[in-house]
Amino acid sequence: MAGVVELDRLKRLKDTVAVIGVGETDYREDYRAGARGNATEKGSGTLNSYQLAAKALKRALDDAGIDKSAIDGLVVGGPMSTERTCEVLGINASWCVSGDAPRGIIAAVQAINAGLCHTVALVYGNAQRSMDTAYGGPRVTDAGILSYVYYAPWGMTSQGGLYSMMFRRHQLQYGTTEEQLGAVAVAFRKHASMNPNAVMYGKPITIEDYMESRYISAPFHLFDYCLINDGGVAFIIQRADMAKDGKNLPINVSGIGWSELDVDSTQLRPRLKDFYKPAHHAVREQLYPMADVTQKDVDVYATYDSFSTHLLFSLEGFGFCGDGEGGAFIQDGRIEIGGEIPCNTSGGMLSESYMQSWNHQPELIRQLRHSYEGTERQVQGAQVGQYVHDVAGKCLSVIYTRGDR
Amino acid sequence: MDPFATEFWDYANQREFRMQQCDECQKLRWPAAAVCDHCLSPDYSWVPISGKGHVLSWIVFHRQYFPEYPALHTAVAVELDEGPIFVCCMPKEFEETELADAMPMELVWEESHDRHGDYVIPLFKPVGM
Repeated sequence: MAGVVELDRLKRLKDTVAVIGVGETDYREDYRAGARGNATEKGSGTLNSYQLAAKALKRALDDAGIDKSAIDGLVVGGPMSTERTCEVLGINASWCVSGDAPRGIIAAVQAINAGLCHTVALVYGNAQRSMDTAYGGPRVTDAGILSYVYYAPWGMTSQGGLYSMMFRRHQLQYGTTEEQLGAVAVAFRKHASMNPNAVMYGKPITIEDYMESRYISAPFHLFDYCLINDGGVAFIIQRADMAKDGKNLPINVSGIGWSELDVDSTQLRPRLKDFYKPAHHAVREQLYPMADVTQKDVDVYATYDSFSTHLLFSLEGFGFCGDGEGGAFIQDGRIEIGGEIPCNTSGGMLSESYMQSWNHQPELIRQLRHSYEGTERQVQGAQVGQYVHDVAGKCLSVIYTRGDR
Repeated sequence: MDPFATEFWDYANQREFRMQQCDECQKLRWPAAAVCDHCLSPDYSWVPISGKGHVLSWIVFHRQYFPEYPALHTAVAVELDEGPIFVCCMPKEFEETELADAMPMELVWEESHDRHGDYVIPLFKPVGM
């Protein structure tokens, strides 16, 4: 049953592995490779997922200061196969799975603690712009989630439409306004403006820009939607005792949690009745006690943000504010760098890069390493970071903390 | 299409709005599936559904995704009196109707056709309009 875990067993895994290296591709440069610095055409076919993943891995290895031969475990994300990824990268792993970033992190914690491997590379590449991948409309595929395709006879296959419907329900139930929601897109764009690698670097928006932007699936405006761009991400997780002697300050994985709401998911019940919050509640009962922190200790927060509302719902669900208070809570710079709870400080998937949970991890690691010290982008004195993943009710979360040298 | 969904559409073509009910524990399920998600029984009957419900949420597409549904296109989630949430759309003449929370809705059948041929599709419209 969801939410029931053996906390004493979970707590033994606290700080047993650490992130030692991170790498990403050149999101902005690749996106703006069109004529006169414009976005490249969808379907241009110029980039390849494996090439992007390999570039990110090389950078993560260099960042960690280790050789590829040290890698004995692999997590493969995005549209790549595990076999071909290992073949292209020249790695015969002793343990290998596929998954998104948080599934990969949790699996790596398990595998390393089980003694199956000690140094895991987590790699992702997705040439989704070059390949013109469809996430809505008649060409969409279900990706294992039936609600993404089931309502095609009635003209709805849009993932954005499903989240917009959730936001409408939030509006009806709590009086949340579009203008309140606009604070998310504005804040993430502001963060992207501090990040030269962000696709939307140098393109800040105001709340007026947001309100005047066109609707795609009302109440969602254009700026509530994530980007579609090409990119790759990689990071290296290692057994914590080995990570102590590394090049970088290790960033520990201190808490993990997982809970799913799949029953009645296609008829949208957990979305429209509960905003997926029972899953948030179950996860927060796992990872905060495991990491020995509370919401108040979280210095920097990142959420999966294919749409702006992910932040609104998860801040309520994880207890940063009360049910229905999210709209008011995210105002007045509270979610911006310098605010009470800086969220998606790289610009997230709305404004940095749509790396489907992957780009959030290097950003949290760098914030906790204090890599941006001396710039406006650094969350001052950041000690604890949280990533929240909630994709169609599959909720996973990770707490990172600064480790020891 | 999976065989259970096909049965739903076969009934729809007869203008019958039915959902599966478990023969063992009587749980109603939607969408159609092979077994009861409560007791895993494979035995079920297609029982008639009243076609009455109320608005839970809706969205308006300002961008066209399907040739059959030019913008503006409204998708609506109707909570049926029997319990399940039925996501669908309204007949064209109701596309711009102002919807409201908990507004009563009722089933209406519409004939249509696409490249696969003719079909009958269940839609919902505001009661009394």
